[in-house]
Amino acid sequence: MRRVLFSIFIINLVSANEFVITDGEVTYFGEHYLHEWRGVSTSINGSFYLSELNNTYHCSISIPLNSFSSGNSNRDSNMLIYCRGIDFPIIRFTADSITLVDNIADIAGNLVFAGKTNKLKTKVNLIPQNDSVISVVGEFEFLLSKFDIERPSLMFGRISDTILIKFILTGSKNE
Amino acid sequence: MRYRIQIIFILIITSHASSKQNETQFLPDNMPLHTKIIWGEKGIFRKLNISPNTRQKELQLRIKMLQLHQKLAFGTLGMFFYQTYLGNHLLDGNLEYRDRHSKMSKIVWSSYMLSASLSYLAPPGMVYTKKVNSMKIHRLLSWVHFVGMASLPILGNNISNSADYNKAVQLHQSVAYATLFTMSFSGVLTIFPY
Repeated sequence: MRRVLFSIFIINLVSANEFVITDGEVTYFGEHYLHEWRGVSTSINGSFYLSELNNTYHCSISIPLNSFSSGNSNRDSNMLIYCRGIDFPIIRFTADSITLVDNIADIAGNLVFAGKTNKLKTKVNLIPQNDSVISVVGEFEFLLSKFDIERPSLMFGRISDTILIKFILTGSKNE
Repeated sequence: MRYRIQIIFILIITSHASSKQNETQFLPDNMPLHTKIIWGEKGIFRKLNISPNTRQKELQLRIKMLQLHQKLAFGTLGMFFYQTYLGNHLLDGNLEYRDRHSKMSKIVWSSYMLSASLSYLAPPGMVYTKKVNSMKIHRLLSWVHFVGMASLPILGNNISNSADYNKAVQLHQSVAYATLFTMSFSGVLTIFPY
């Protein structure tokens, strides 16, 4: 019963409403045989729109590549170089399908990064904060090689091809 | 005819100006002083017109130079440890190591200077912050071991010319150890995550 009520609450909250991202954090996790590191960005722009009534969905997010900070400017600089930050300064995600079951949304869309576009599928948790604010939490992995990104090497070993992304976004109703 | 020449002249001037702007519009703030002197907006390499046409090409050159610097420095450090081993044998009275120590000193010194040049002369990166991190300490330490390495051949020559043999040997050895230590620590810092 509680589950049903929660689902109704979620659907009511997101039905036919556009949420503008007002707060959030996206973190990438990199790995090398000598160490691991993470880079964080809080400069997230975008919105998501979900209407159960006429079955229309929309989600669009963009993050400036140079907004990621790993705590080491040398590494951030290298990241911008390897990810072709001058030519492609923005990472974009646009959803083309969203399926909502309970408080979990299955999202599929296109991730545009370093000048290449790849399909991305992920599950996100929707956590309502109040009547007009909702948080979205999730994670996914992608391969640098899929975006034609050359991997930097240190001490004769390249960094891992797999990058883990974790995110938490907070959206407020655009009224 | 005169009108055409004027147009061609203006086009040349504007294309040159736009290429210059392309080179420098993505230059970072806070770049190290030596990098600013070489690669700044009015840097030596730009005045000499030997810098790449675009900032993107500059950054690719930076990657190549620093990757080579890394490998060469690693090799140099290994050779420097061997050179220290030879030097200690010489001090113990094994004079058969003298020639090898002398030959190795030229190899280590040349390899070090080539590696240092690749780092010091590399184009600027994308971001420089005032925050202290491992790579910033790595760069600061480089000035210490650079001065040490630059003075080692002079101090080595000084041993045979000096009136006080022991003092000259001790000075050469101390500087060599300080250089080896700072260079090793500098190398270790590159694997620190922050």
